[in-house]
Parts: sequence; structure tokens; C-alpha cells
Amino acid sequence: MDLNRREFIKLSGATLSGIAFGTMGFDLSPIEAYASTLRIQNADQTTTICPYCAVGCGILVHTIEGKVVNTEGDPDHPINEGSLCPKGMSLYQLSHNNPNRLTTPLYRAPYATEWKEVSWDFTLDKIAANIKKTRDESFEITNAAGQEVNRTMGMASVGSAALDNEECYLYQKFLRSLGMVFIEHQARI
Amino acid sequence: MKNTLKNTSEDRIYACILSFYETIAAWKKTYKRALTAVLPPPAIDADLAAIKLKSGFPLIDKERLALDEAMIKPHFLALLDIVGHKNPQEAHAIALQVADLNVFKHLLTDTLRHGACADHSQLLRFLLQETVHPLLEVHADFLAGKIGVEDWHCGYCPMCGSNPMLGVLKGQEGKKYLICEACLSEWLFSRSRCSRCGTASSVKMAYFTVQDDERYRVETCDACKRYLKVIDQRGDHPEKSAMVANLTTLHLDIIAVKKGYTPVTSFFQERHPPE
Repeated sequence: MDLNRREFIKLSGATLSGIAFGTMGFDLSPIEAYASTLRIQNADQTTTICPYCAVGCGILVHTIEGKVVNTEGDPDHPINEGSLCPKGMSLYQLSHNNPNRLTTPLYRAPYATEWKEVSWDFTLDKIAANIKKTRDESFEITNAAGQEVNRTMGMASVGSAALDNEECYLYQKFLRSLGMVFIEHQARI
Repeated sequence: MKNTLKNTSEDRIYACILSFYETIAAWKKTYKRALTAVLPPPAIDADLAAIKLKSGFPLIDKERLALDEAMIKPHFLALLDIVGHKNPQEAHAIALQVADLNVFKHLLTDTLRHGACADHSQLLRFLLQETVHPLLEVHADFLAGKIGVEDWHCGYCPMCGSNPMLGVLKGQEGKKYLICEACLSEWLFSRSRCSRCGTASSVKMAYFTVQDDERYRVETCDACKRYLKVIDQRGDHPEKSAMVANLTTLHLDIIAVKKGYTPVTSFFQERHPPE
């Protein structure tokens, strides 16, 4: 699409003075030539919520062709109004830009010296088996005084700060159904 | 080095335009000083102002704005002298057209209330708007010190109701402020919404920048096909006058227009007179 001066004057977002430039013979062709030499980067801006803690700060994510190029606090968000803690500020490192970011679970077998990549199915099955084994081995129906307690002192949980109230409620119900009593949350630490 | 070269090249391209703008700015300074001296300060009713702002109505009532055409006319003619020399025939025709003070007053009032009229020549439209905008600026400056507009979230100016000329990202939090095309007032606006149609859809809203130059971005809206230039004044990016920034980024306007967008600003949206 070639723009002649009249079209540009009519359409351009230049200041009102732009009209005068056309009227008074300012030559806009060097600007148009300059514009044609520039390399343009098209970007998208998406809002998201920080995954780290339950405060739920708003974040703006800038992407070019689907790849994250920048993250920053969302000034429109009522929780943080653009501010972020150091963890939130480093959110950019969670994207593909960080070569050290884990993308699959890693497993180091007993007595092994190396970590190896494993599937999520393996990981979840392994965690479930370890929980059951530990619970079964450490479960106490009564305490030393003979009182009924139905508990396990062999496991503890430090809940994720990314969980919201409702998720925390369901999570602690699950933990108590196992008989766990050492239940903590990151927000209290 | 790349930026330096680019800036130098930009400076060269825009030198002529900036030099012209300096002359206009000097004229405007004198004109604004004269306006400030003679214009009565607008009466402020705090309760009415609060209701207006809450309901999305701008504070300045253009229908009731005081206009001293006899005082304004010499300044109009001075501007005509500055900008008319390259087109003396048209300048002469305009001088004849405004010779009658009543006609001049009608032109001013019409431009003030309804914006530039497509029936007028580009030069006359420029002259009228440049003459009317400082009027709004003086009133807006007065009101700005008396009434806060922190709770205004519309895409048009809380003072005079005009559209934004450009946006500015400022402060550590990167809040976006819009700058009015007419009275140059500044107000806070959402980072994610289109100032024209209000869409907040990240599918519709996007922006582009020039590679290796993060100072400016052009926000585009595919819902209403408008664009708005935004200056990033955070960090090391030096603060620039809004008008100068707007003038020295015409290349971004060209790119946006070629992409099929029209500006949020209303300067170029032609208004046709009633039949």
C-alpha cells in the first residue's frame, strides 16, 4: 500500500501540525523512506497471575511469536498495582528463556548418583507408593496412653503458597484423611 | 552505537519539522500568556464536578466557554503570518474570510464545540484548532490544580472530552497516562484496554515496536482498527515533550497506517457540516 501525501495527512496520527506540513510543502518522503527501512516487531501483551504465592499479583506478559520476551507487574491489577516481589520479578525465568528450567520430572533412585528424566505417570505412582508405604509403617491407632489417635507422625506437608483458600481446604482434608498432623503452609513461614 | 546512528538519522529527518514546531511553540507561549491574563477563571462547583466525573462527562463545558474573539484575532493573524508564507494565496483568502469579526467568532465557536470541519481548507483547520486548543489548555491548567481526576477511567480527556494524542508509560509501576490532543491534560488509563473502544481482549489488542528501539510502541486494536503511540519514559529513557515525541515519530504513524489502522486522535476525522 503506497501512501501519497494526501492519504497520509488524512489518516496519520501526527499532531495537528501535520496538516500544516502538508499545506506548507514539508516533504514527508524522507520519513516514509526511513519508515520502510525499519524492522518491525509485532508483540502481544497478555495478563496473567503470578504462580508463586496466594497473594495473586497481576502480571503483564509480552510475547513475540508466542515466545515470552518480557514480564512486568500489571499496574491495572488491584492487588499489586504494578509492583512485584523479587520472585515475581524473576518470572521471566520460568519461560523457555531459562535453559535450567525443568520441563520434566527428575528421579534419582536410591543409591544412584545421577538424576534421570521420568514421566509424570511414573512420578505420581512413585509418590503415591511412598506415601502409602510411609503411612502404613508409621500409622498409630493409639498413643502411649492408650488413647485412640489414628495418626501418622512419619510425614509432614508444607503446602504450596500457590494454593487458594478452597484448594487449601480440600488439600488439608485429604491430608487429615491419611492421618497426618504436621500440616503447614508456606504463607506462615 | 546502533541507537546513536538511528537517532542521528531520525534527528536529520525531523530537523526541519522541529524547527518549524519551535516557531509555533514560541507563538503559542505568547498566546497562552495573553489568554491567561484576560480569561476569567472558570467557576468551580466541586459537587457538580464530582457528578460530572463520576458520570463520564468532561469538566469543561465547551458551550459556555468564554471567547474573546477581538483579543484572540491578532494572535490568529500572527499564526497565519508564520504558516501562511508558503501558500500566500490561501493565506490571503483566509485573512479576507476572517476580516469580519462575527465570521471569525463563528469559526472559532464551531471549531471549539464540534472540532475541525471538512469544508475548511487544511490550513484554516490547522489555524483554527491551534487557536482553540490553547483556550482549552488554559482552562484545563486552572482546573487541574483544583479538581483531581484520579478516578477517571475513560479513554477521552476528563477536562475537555477530546481524544488522546499519545500515551506515556511512567514510574516504577509502569502506569499508562494518556495525553489529550487538545488541552494536553494527562490522565491515568488502563495498560490493557483500547482507549477508543474499550476492549480489553488480548486477542484484539497488540502492539509493535521498531527493533532495537524500546522507547516507543504503537498499540493497535483489531476490534476498532485504531492505534495509539505510547512512549516508554521508564528507566534510562529520557523524558520528552509529548508534542515533540509525537512529531518525531511520524514514521510510526506511517507504518501503522500502512498496516490498516487509523489513529485514536480525532484531528483527521473529517466532520461534515449539517445540510
